[in-house]
Amino acid sequence: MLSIQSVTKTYGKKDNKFTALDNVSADFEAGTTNAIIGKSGSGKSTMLHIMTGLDRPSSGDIKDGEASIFQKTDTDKWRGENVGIIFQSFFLQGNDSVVENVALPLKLKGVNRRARNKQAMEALEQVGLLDKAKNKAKDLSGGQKQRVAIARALVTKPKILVADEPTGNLDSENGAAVENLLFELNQKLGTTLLIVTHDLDLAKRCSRVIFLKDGQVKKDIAKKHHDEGEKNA
Amino acid sequence: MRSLDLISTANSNLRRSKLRTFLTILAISIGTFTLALSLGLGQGVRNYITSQLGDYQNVNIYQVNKEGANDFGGAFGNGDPQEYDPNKSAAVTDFSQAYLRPTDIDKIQEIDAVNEIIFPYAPAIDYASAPDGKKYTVPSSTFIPDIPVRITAGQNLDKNGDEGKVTISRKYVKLVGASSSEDAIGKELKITYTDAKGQTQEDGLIIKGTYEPTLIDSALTINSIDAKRLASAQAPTGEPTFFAVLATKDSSISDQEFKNKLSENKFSASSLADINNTLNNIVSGVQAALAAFSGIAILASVVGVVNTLFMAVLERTREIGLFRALGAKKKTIFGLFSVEAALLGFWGSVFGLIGAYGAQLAVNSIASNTFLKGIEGLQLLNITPMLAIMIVGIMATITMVAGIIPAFKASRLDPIEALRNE
Ligand SMILES: Nc1ncnc2c1ncn2[C@@H]1O[C@H](COP(=O)(O)OP(=O)(O)O)[C@@H](O)[C@H]1O
Ligand SMILES: [Mg+2]
Repeated sequence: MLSIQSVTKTYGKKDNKFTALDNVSADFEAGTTNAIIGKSGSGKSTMLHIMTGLDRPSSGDIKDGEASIFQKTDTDKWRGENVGIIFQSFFLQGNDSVVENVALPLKLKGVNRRARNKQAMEALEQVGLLDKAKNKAKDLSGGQKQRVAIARALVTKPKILVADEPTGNLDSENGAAVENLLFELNQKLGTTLLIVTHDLDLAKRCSRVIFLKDGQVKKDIAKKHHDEGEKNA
Repeated sequence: MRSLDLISTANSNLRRSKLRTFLTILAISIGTFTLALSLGLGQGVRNYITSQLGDYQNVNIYQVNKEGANDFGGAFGNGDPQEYDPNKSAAVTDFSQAYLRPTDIDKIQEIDAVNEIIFPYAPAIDYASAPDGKKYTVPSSTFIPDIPVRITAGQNLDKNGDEGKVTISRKYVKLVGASSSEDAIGKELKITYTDAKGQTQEDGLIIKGTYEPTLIDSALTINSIDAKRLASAQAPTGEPTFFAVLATKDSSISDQEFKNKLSENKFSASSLADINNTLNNIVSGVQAALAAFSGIAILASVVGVVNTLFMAVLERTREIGLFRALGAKKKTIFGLFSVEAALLGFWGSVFGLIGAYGAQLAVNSIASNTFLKGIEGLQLLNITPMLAIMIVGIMATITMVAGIIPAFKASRLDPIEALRNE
């Protein structure tokens, strides 16, 4: 379980002080699908960055199980082993092959070439892009690029898959395909999904939806087996 | 990240901005080229000196002259005024003062440490006449026992004997109409000199041996009996005078003690080994100066490395953020850029060395066909493999150190800033 405990994030000092996240708390159970929804500037990305240890909270803490991810000896290592991140604008290495892109997190971890290529091919199979393994990443379509990015996030077999507006740069057809893939992976691998979006339809497919406004949690709706139940009004 | 992956990733990063990398490497290779050539030249020249004078390293022969006889600086009076020091010999202001008087020679002989005095008669020969009628100048000296000679044919002269005989540089055999060293043995060399009365005199000397000349050998080495006779005939008083005599040192005393003993008596002594050392010191000095110049070129290229890396960090900001987001540690990012910097030094020095080896081949082949002709196996430029490896190592280290600041900057980039969409 990943838990956000009273996280506040402020930018700037004194007169220019701006609170991007205001005392946010939430627990994410293993294997669940979660959406964080809100308007642009509401603090969704900030929350996601702090949850993955890419950024530090001004106050509050993030815990993976019992331990704070910031107190762990190496937050980067923790992230590399437990979290897969998917970005709105893919961030692939255009001149590298698809399989090299997917294998990158393993390369950074120090896995040897043979093993990492094997695992990358497995991840590519899961996103249905095995036939594109040798292509250069820049030659793919937008939807294919996002699927490669998902394979790259998957390749380390993370417990948590975090996606920041994964369909934001895609047309509706490709967007739907990527969405389906994410939920399919949740089903098949039991990976916790954390999707940042402003697409209500996508959010509705998740078992839990957190509404953010001006850095505060306005609603936190969890549904259990199709019955909608509302925590926090 | 595995070291091998780190190196190959850094290396392929170099290829992303080919022109910039090329120019940076070019600058480093120019610096390396000059460094390798100056060090290689120094090594080659030292080898040359050793090949010429190495034989004399342990020869027990000292040149002895009056202290200050070599110090003409004060004699011309264009230096700054120097205070009189009673413990120091006066600088020579009149060349005649530099000559050793018979009393001086007696004084040298009386010094315990001096075993024997050898007189280096230096008869002046106007020319030697070859059988084909041509006349040649022949720098000549007296035979000095104990000094090693590289005999190529015949035999060396004997101590205190061999009247009427000479040895000759193998390059001079055509003066007796010979085509080879062997051919010259036993032939007569016809010489012409002018005596003290101004009369032209002719003489003949039989060639006993030929030798490979070193830097300090004359063309002609005359036995001491004839050398004394010729020199006496040329001396206005009938007695040859000497600027310096040669002395052998008693084996019970060290080189330095010997020099000190002579110094106490206001004489100075220098051995053949001293010449070797002096030359080597000069070479080292020149080499250091050349290396310092190439050091400046290298310094300039290092500034290029820093610049190149800062630009690379800027260009790859987003990628650095991505790497961090995918679990790369700060240390890995630092490593990537440091290795990239080291690789710039590595490739720059490798290409510079390839150029230097090319230049070495060209220069050595020209040199061995001209002034080093006949000295087998001697290279004017000598960039040893050891030196090459050292240069590559040093250059890679220097550029890696130069890359520390950009690499540190890269490792400290905020991954979120780096990953911003805009
Ligand atoms: N480094 C920063 N300095 C100042 N303000 C920031 C910084 N990063 C984000 N913000 C502000 O925090 C708010 C939340 O940003 P963000 O989390 O990116 O919103 P979202 O992802 O919901 O669109 C925005 O108003 C943004 O301008
Ligand atoms: Mg955002």
